[in-house]
Amino acid sequence: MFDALLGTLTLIQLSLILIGVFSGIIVGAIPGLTGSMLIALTLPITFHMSPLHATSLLIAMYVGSITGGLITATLLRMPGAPANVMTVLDGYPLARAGYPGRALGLGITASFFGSIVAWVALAALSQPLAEFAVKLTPFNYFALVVMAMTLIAFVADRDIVKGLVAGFFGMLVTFPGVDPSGGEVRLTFGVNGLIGGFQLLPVLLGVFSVSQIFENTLNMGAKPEVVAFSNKGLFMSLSDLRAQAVNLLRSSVVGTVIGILPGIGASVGSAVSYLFAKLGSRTPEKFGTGSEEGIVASEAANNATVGGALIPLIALGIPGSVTDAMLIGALTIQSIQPGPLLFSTHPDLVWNVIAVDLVATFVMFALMLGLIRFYVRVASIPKYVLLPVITVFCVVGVYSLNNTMFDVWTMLGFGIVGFLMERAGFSLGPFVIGYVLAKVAEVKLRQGLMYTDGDITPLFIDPLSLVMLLIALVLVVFSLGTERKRRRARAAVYGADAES
Amino acid sequence: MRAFFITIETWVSAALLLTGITFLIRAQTLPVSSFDSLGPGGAPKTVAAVLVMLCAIVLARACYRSVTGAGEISGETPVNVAKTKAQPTPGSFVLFFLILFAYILAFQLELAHFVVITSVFVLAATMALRGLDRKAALIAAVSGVVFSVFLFVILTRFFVIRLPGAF
Repeated sequence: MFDALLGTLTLIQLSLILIGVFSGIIVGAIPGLTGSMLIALTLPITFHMSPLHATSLLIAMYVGSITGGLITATLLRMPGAPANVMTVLDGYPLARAGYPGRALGLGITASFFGSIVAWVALAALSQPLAEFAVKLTPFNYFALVVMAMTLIAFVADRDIVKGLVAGFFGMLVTFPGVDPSGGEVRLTFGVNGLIGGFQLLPVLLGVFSVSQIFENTLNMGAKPEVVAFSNKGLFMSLSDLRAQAVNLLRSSVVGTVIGILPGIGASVGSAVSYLFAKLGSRTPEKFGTGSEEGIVASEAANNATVGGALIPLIALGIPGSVTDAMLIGALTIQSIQPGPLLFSTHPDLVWNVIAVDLVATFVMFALMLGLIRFYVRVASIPKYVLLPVITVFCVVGVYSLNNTMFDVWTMLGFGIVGFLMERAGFSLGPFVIGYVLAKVAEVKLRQGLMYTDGDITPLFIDPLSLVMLLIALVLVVFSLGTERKRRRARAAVYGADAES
Repeated sequence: MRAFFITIETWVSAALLLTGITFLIRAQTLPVSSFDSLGPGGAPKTVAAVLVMLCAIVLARACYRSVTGAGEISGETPVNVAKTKAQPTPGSFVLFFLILFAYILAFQLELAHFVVITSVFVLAATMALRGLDRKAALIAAVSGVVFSVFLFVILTRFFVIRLPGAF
């Protein structure tokens, strides 16, 4: 661990972390652009980098982008990313009441604190969890993936049936190409380009970047209501920290725990934390009108989910969030197989990820406080300037991977698919998680069947597999049975607009 | 009932249902494996079957809602609410999509040098999004050229990627 920390203090590593956090904050601050998009756009570049440098850059972007969304959430009433939705509820009213600096200062400090708490969990839990995971049988692993996919659908922000549809469609898309166990070519429908299957990068760029670009072009009329920025109150005093101590700690722990649960992301973390803060507050009526507790709860939790989500990624090879699915993509591009054996096959890489998360947190804190005026200006760059440039990056980035236009058309196709699915109320998060986990699930299940000569009963007899499958089943049944209650609960948090 | 056929939810669900059926039919033709009982077709068949079933549920639910008038699942969260409350600009979207399609086609057919087609794309896309704004067009024209030259040099010299007009 100490060696890894020292390793991040080299000129190249520090430069990459600085670039990553800086660009992550900028992208996070611009409404319509997300950290996932930035990471997807950067993946082609990481192909030409070493795994250490690639992961340093991407983790730094991840950390920066979650915090960047705080700026527009507070000053423009537009969340930079879904993770910052709860911050809008109190950040904007507080800014509008004449305290923009204080709103931002609370958010920045809470983000820092949340990241540090999550980092402690990351450093402490990853290795023990990986050592446990190595002992998992193929059937255990398959059951874990099934549970992860069900969890994703469970927290899909609209409805579980549609979440499952998106997840299964994501899985279906992985099947064309070479069978991972037998080596036969399957389901190519006579298209030569599909012999290699739908490649990871075109699918991810299409679904997350191109679809988002289309969504933005459909909303060019959006005019943000801007609050003028001032530095006053930006730095929190010790008495402020004391007053928010319990809230900070609770929100950070909630965010970390939710981050660990596979497939669940920062938006859920911040929403749950916000609810807990409201329930535990002496002044719950102030929530939604500029409550400082609300801002702290939301921002501490959403940053804590970053570190929390890295735990299953490193220990199990299962993405803790959609952005982690991109990180898996980055490792795959580098021909590194994520999974519990990563600690033994690439320990330097794993400890580098943990170290970079810590260093990036400090860099994020310094950059946010030091360059806040610059970020506020950047957040106001017109979309008609940004969108064409980002589109070119997408096209060229995808093309550069294999020098084939099939990938570019695939990206455009999935861009259309992603755009239409979002419009129809299907979440893209389950789609991406399904896409990333499908091959793992199939390989593990078939491995298990090979070991047992085709007998599937051990899957249901093994206590661990059985428990995980039962959790998956209970989640599905529970969600279907309480769909209406969940919608009302969402309305209680988000307001009447969300009750549907 | 008419409302059922005009919502995007219906068409997307139907498209996914058809995709599932296609995969299911095709997966039936895959050979059985001698290594494991599932074979190359087992997982695709299972996933496709579940997808078809789930899409059928979504369609049935949408049909029921349109017949009984029980309201629609809009799937809106505050993020989407913030977007949809603004005036939608479908014209910008359609134009942008067509320009993007033309750009990719020009890229594939190598109709002109990369710098030329990219600069034209940036200018055309900006005008599609901004309208006939001279200032925006001038900025787009200049930045488009600078950006595409920069990108061309980086990609061809440092990453040795073949672009239209590179070699």
